[in-house]
Amino acid sequence: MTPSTAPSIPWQLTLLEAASMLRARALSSVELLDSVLTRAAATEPSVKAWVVIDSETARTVARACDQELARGETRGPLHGIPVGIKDIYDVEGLPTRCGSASRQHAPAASEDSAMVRALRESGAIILGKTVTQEFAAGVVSAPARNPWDTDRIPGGSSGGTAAAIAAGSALTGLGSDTGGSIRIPASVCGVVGFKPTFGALSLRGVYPLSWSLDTAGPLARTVGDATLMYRVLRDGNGGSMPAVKSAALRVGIPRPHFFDRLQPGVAIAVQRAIEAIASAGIEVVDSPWQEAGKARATSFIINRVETGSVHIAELAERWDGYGEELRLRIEAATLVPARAYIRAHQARRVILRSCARVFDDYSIDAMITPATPGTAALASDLNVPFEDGSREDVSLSYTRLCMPFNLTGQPALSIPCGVDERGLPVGLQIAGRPGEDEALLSIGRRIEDILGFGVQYPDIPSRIDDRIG
Amino acid sequence: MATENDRHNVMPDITSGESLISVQAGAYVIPPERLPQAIARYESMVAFIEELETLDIGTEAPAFVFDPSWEDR
Repeated sequence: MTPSTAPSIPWQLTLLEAASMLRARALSSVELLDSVLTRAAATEPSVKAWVVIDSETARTVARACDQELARGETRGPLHGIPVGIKDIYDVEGLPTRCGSASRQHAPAASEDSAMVRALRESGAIILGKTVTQEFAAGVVSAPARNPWDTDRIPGGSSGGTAAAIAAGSALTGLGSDTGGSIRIPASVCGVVGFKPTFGALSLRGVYPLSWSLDTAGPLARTVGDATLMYRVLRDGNGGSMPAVKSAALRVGIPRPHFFDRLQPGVAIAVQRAIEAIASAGIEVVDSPWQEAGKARATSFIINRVETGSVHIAELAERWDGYGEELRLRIEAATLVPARAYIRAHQARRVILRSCARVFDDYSIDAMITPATPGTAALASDLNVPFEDGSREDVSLSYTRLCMPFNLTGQPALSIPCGVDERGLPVGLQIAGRPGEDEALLSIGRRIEDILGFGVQYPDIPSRIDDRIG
Repeated sequence: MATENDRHNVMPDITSGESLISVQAGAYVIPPERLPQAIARYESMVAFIEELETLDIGTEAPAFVFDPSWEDR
C-alpha cells in the first residue's frame, strides 16, 4: 500500500474534500466526473467493479450542477458528487439485474429506490451500477477483483462498490449488509463500510435477500465520508462535521469467537490497532460475549432460510438463470426444518439481551474486533488459509465475525487498520449500541484519527495517464 | 407506488411443522440428481442448528418483526 499524500488528482479526494471544493468552486462537477471516468477507464479492465457506467447522463447532470453552483444554488450536501449504486437497488431507467442471468431481461426500473432518491435529491450524480454477488448472496462478487491485487476477490456482496471506491472510480457508494456484505468488502478492499442499525434506512426498491436482516448502508474512503452519506440517506441533511472530541471512551474486546482462528497478518494488525487505541487514552477492557458464536449460528439460519424463501418461486421458473452456488444454497434451505427457523427467531432477542448485558456490565461504548478472519482470498482458490494448514470456505470465513451484529441489529463499522505480510488491507470492526449510529460514527472517526492510516490507493496498472489539467 | 421488488417483502407461513420453504413455495422440487449435493450442503448447516439448540430460550416469543432496541429488555 502506498502512503497517502495531499491529493493532486480529483478522483483521489475524499467525499468531504470534494464537496468542500465544489462548494468553494475550486473544482467543478465536470472536472471531478471526468477525473473519475478517466480513472475508471484505466482501472476497469482489471478491476471490473462496474456493471454499467452511464457517463452520458452523468455528464449532463454534472454540467447542470456546475450551472447551478454558478448561480449560487445547491441541491444538497452531495451536490456534484459521483456515486456508485450496488445493482440490487432500483435506479430509474436502469435494469436491476442483481448479478444474475435470471434477470438478464429485467426491465428498466420505473422509479428510484428510496436510498437512490435520497442521494439524487442531495445532489449526487448516479454514475452507474456496481457489481454484486448474485442477489447479494455471497462474498466473491465476480467478475469484480480486488484493486490491491487483481488476482484476489474484493469480498462481497457489495464488492463492486468497495472495489470502485478503492480503485478511485467512485468517491462513495451504496452497499447492503445482511451477513457482512458492506463490512466484508470494505475490510478486504481497504475502505470504510458502515452497517447502520437494522431498520434505520429504507429498503424500498431494494431486492431483498433476508428481510429480517437486510440493511442498507454506505461505503466510503473515510468515516467522515460515511457519516455524511449516512446522514443524507437517513434524512437528506449533511449537517456539520464537528472536530473529533477526546471525551472519555471505553471499548470492549470480546475475546471468545471474534479472535478465534485468525490469519496471523490480521491478528497482528488488529492487536497493533488495539494497542494504539489504548495508548491514545481510550480505555480498553476485555468484555467476553459468550453468546457470540450462537449469534452467528442464529443469524446464519435466518439468513439461509429467508434467502430460500425469497427465491424458491423464481428458481422454479428460471432455474437455468441461477448460478450453481446460489441454486445449491436455495435447495439446501428447503431442507431446513421450520422449527429451526422459528427457534432462531425465538433466540434473537435472548441473544440481543446477552450483548446488551455485556455493554452494561463492562460499561463499554463499543466492541472492537477484526472485521474478517483473513485478508483478500485468491479468486482461483475460494478458501481462507490459516497458519496451521487448515482452510475455511471463504463465505463461511468472511461472515463469521460480521454476522453476530446482523442478528442483534447493532450498528457496525469496518475501517482500515493495517496490512498483512502481502500488503493486503486488514479491517477493524467497531460495533455500537442500537440506534446510536451517530455515536458509533463519532467513535470511528476518533479511532481512524488515532490509527492514522489515512486514505491509500492501490497501484493498479493503468493504460491511460489519468492526470487531468 | 410499490416497485417490482416490494412484492418479495412478505412474511412466510410459519405455522407448519414441515420444511418451511417447501410449504411456502410448493413449486420447486429438487431434481433427484441434485439431491445428494443439496443434502450435503444442508448437513454443513446442521452444526449451526445444533449450536442454536444449546441456547436456553425459555418461553421467548419469536421476534418475526424485529426491533433492535435495548429499551424493553
